[in-house]
Amino acid sequence: MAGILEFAPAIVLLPFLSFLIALGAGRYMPKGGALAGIGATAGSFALSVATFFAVSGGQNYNQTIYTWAEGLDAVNLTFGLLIDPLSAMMLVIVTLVAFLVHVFSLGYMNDEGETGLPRYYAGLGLFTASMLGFVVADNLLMAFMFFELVGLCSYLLIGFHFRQDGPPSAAKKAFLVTRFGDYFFLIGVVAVFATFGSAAFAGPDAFPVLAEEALHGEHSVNTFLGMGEQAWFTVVGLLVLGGVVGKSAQFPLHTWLPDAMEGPTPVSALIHAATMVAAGVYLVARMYGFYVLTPTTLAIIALIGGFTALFAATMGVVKKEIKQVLAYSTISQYGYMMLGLGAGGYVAATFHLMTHAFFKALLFLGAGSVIIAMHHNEDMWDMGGLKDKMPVTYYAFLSGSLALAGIVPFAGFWSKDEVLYETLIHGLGGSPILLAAYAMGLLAVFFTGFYTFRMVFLTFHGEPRSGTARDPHGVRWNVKGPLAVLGVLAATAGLVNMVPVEKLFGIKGIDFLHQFLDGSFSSLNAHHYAELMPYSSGYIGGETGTVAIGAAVSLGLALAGAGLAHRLYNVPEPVEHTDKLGGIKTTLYNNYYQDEYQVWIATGIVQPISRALDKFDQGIVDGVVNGLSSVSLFAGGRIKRLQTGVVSNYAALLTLGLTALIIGLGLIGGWFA
Amino acid sequence: MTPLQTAPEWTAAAPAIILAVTGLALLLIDTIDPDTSSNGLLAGLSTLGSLAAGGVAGWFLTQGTGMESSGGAITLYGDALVIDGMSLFFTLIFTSVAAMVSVASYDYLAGRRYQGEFYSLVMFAATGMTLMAMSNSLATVFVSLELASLPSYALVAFLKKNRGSIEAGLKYFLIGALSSAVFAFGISLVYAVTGTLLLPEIAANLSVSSDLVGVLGLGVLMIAGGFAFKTASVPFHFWAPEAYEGAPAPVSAFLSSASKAAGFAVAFRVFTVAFPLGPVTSLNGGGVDWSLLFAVLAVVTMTLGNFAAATQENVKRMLAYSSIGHAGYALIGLAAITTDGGAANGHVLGASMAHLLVYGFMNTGAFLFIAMVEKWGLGRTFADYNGIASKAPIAATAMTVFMFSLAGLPPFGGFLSKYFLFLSAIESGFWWLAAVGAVNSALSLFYYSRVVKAMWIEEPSEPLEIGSQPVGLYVAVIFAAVGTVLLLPGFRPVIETAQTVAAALF
Repeated sequence: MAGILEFAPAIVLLPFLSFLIALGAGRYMPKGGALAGIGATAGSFALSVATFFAVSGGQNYNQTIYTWAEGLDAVNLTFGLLIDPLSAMMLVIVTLVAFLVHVFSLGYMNDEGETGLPRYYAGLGLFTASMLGFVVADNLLMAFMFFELVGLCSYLLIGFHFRQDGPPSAAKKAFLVTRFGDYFFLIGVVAVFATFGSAAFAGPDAFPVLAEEALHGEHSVNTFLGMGEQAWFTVVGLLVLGGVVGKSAQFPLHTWLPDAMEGPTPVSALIHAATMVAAGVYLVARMYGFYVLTPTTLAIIALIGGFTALFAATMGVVKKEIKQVLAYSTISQYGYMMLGLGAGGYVAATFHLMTHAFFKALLFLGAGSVIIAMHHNEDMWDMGGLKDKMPVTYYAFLSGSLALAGIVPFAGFWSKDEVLYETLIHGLGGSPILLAAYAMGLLAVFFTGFYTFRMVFLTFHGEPRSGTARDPHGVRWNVKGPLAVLGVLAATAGLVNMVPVEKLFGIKGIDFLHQFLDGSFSSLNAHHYAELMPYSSGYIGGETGTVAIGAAVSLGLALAGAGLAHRLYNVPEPVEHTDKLGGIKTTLYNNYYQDEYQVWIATGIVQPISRALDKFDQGIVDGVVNGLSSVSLFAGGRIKRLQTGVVSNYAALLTLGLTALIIGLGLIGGWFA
Repeated sequence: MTPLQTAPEWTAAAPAIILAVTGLALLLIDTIDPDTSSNGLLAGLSTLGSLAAGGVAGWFLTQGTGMESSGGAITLYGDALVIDGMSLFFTLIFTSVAAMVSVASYDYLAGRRYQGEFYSLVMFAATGMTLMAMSNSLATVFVSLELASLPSYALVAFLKKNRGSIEAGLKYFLIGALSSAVFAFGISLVYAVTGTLLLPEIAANLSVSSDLVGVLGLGVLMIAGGFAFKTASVPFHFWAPEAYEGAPAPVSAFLSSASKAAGFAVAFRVFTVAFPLGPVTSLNGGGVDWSLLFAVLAVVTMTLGNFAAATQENVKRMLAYSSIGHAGYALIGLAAITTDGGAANGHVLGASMAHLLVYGFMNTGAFLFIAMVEKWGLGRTFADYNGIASKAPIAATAMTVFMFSLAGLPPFGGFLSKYFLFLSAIESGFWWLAAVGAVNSALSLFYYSRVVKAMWIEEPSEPLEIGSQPVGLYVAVIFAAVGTVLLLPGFRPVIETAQTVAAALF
């Protein structure tokens, strides 16, 4: 199986190299090290594409590269690579977005005369390398380590402008909130090791496989707290899910993400589309074979996803800054992916992960372009009428918006529809929780359409509402190029998995992504997951009917939302309509007081406990330690007094000491008998 | 086939011979030109002699002279001397310390009289130590011990105009005389019981009648007392703080590193060869459990040394007490020997030897740094060390290395040697000794880091003036520091050699 897959480590190492170059020699290089990053990500992208085709051709790769701790109670800790369709797809997405973000940064950072560029490009390089390392990880511990590296890099990049007030605080918040989730993840990793003795994703020792065998009674595992296997697996799954909820900004740990908008916009694109936030969902997909065994966890994932999708979408409706709207849309869209995973739609969720990566990167880069044009003013109420001034940005942004809103035939429509469809049929198959989650997801479609087009209309349509909007700053090829590429992808990426068309018109074999994902190891492919799934399907008016109804309802809601936005905001002089919301408006502006209650938990509950512990530490622990040292010093002082300086004293003490030893040893040895 | 096997047997004692000849040559130069000002010649010659002796010892070690691989230990002069791996290993310690001290004395003695005497005394003391490590008979043990001690008394009192130095020398001599008396009495008792002075023969004649067990026990204990004096262990330690504090700092370095190691060398050999633990603990009608004796001494010595060091205000005196504490650690090598220990005995004894080697570098370096501070004319207390790092960063870095290494922190040699020592003590079942050692090490960090804190963090109360940059002292200090650091990665060959040669004693 030698071939292109043998070069897979280079995909990770190239951006790492660019990190080292930018860090060490960036200041001596033109463009502050950008070229190294561009070269490295371009190389990684080329390799990823080659890998992708090799995997399409049926090759898979699962290899331990390095064992760094061996034989600790029969647990080996290793680094290794797992290249299967899922990771190959993700590699292409991450390297492509990273490459485009690097190019875009030339326009956003270099052309705008930012300082500290080597630090910036070093951060981007390490960020990309960490995410790629996470994607190809072949075991949970390695995944965890790179997961943490991703978190660290996001901290470094969000806080890039560390001299201002906002970014360092936002960076800290992102770091701490995701770390809260990662605590549970870490315990989960340990629990997986303790339970299965292995944390591999694939191969004979893969823990999902062991878990499956354990549930069938073919293999015994260690469970704890007196739980049965099923219950214990649920606990383990939920622990790992903690990390996912933090990283993928799901309710209730989503609060860091809107603040993270303080980072440079290309970084936001990277975080939201391809790296940080995607890591959480990707992790669930990676170990889906484990989650699919525990119906409770799946239901919780689906509920969290559905609720987050709706919850975040409603908050996006009232935001003023263009990046804030996008931030809430990200939370909401990842909610859809979680909904899809929780509802048994592995392919659907992965599909949405892919399309979202393209259109969200596009929207952020588009927003970045607008921000350059607006001289770094992000308030949409100061914009307006930009569509004639910057047509490339406008059409690309429009393509992304149509995809986000889920308008046929743009990418988002296909993937979102499939997520909702999977939820619906499995809900109808006898799972009321999924139906509730479906309802929330469906409602969120309306809000998505509304806030998306509110954003588009406020930014690009109508009359310019400020001086800068009348005379925007131009952008160069390095901004337009990435936008054009992503614009095309946002429009067309959905065509790789047109399930509704397949079902409605009976054209077989156009669900390419599904077939592609089926090409993995037997324990990691979509087919296997479908067999394990605890849900059954139900239909309204047959399969075709359900497809048609589902698609029509979600499209209708999206159009309704867009239409309402059109009515309210696509006018020459739009005004704020938020007052009509009354009391809800304040709640929405304050993001449902999520930050406030979390701060209250921190200051009202955690702080008093910490104080009490501090008292214990200062009083009792330190007291004992200080006491010991005073005793030592006191004893030392006494001993010092023995050393009188008078030789005859010494001789006496010496003789006495010798005598004591003689008597002691003599008594034990029986010399005096 | 090594060429050594064809050489006459007496050449095996070459390290001691080279040292003695160097000492004589120094005297000769001094006789020809008593008022010589060519300090460089004297220091150079004595350094060269030490290095040559050390080089030969090292070469012998790698060639396997006196070890299993080339036919076992070589005995000379009617079995009075024995050259084996252990004696060569210790010779390496003495000679490297002597070389460092000689180099450092080049600056320390600049402008003083009687330099020729100083270097020749150092060489003779080193000869005595080397012979101590080679002694195979209680008679040679006593003679070589005196040969090492007498020059030491003179060296401590070397600063003839300095009351502290004279007083220290006198106290050292008086306690030394008392200890020698105890020691010689012990030897006579053992001779009375066993009828021989040769160590292997003593072991063979241990089966004495039950009414002589007490006499033998008394003799063994008094011999142990003589060694306790040399190693500065409780209760024979009283001379050490005074002598180390009053002596010229290079001499303190020499005594606290090399002389102490010599005491351990001879103690290790006498107790493992002449009084094997198995036979002496199961004599007719009693026993002499010296393992227990040394366990008690180890605990008391390390605790006393560390506790007293913690309360000192004078850096040199602090180091003197810390040196007592380290004697306590090294005693674990004897304390943790068991009758049915097998390989574990060799391990713990070897670990103790390896610790003495590392200690030879880090402790010598620390005292030489003090020599440098004395040379600069700064004070002696911790407060006088404030801010040295800003004036002499390289020397202060070296001192930091010594302090942390003495405390047993990674990444320095002292960490591994202490680690192996405690580990092999645990392996022998003496986990409580290791625990006491670990607690003491933690305490020692307190006073060692005080030096570091003073040098790097504290501000001097008045502006520091550092006059000269003494080249010789710098060379010696940096050499010691590099040795201390390199002994971390290079610890494997050291510990393996030490444990191999130690295992050969059992």
